[in-house]
Amino acid sequence: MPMQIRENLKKGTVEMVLLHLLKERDMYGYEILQEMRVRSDGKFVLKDGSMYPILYRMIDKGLVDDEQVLVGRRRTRVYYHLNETGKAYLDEITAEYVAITEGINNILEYKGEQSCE
Amino acid sequence: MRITEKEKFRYISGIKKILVCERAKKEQFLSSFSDNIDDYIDDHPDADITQLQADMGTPQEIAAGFLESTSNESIKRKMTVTRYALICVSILLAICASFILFLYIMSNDGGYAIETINGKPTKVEYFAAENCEHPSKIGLSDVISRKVNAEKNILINDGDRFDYVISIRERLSRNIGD
Repeated sequence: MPMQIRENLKKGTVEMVLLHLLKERDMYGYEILQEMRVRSDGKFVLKDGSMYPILYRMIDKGLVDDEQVLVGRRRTRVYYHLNETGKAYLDEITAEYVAITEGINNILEYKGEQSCE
Repeated sequence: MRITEKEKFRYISGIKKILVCERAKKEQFLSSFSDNIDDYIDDHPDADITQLQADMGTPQEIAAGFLESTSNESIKRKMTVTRYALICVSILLAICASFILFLYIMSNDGGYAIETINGKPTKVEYFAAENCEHPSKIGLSDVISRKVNAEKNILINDGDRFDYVISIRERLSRNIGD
């Protein structure tokens, strides 16, 4: 059950996390997954199968560009790049995320009105 | 033990088999996934296929994760395309079947078919042929109102249909009161 809760919470934020990582620099798929694992201390881990459809959706939306780069003689890597539209969208969803988490925190920390006697 | 090319190929093929998405997306994903396996092998040179699957997921887990992250619109689009393809194939099959039936009928030497409703003859169909006279010439053009003479000569080369027409004609004769 706790795993299911974590997965549900991840679903709503994974797009923002991916865009945030790409804001720093262009990355390839495996690199994104490793960065996520390291920076979250293993708490926000994605599998390849879950990440790529989101990346493809962001490419379709015009938020991210992809470029195939030859590495060594035979190997290729697809690098993902956050474009200007993506940056604007990231600012927007980050603001929304901050607002909603603030609201949730307020609810969780609400002590009730002090009664005056 | 290192992961062999064969094991890698089998692993990717396993995913390819069960992954449900548009073909272009599937190819794109499998290509990226193959690159990721190479990167994983670089990071874990001593890993075997079991460890790889434990870290990256079994084919079933990967396909399930892909499906879960794919938007409903894409799945609906894929399903719609599949449905349209099925409808087109069905229509094509029906056309082919009709054409084959038509050719079969045309290839016959000719004869008659009697349509009945509740056992009563209502219509005579005539398949033209040189050795088969038109129904009107042998008294079968209007079977409801006209008495059919069982002795009249019906030239039918198809054995099955001959039996059928004869049995219908006998029943018709009985109904009419012969």
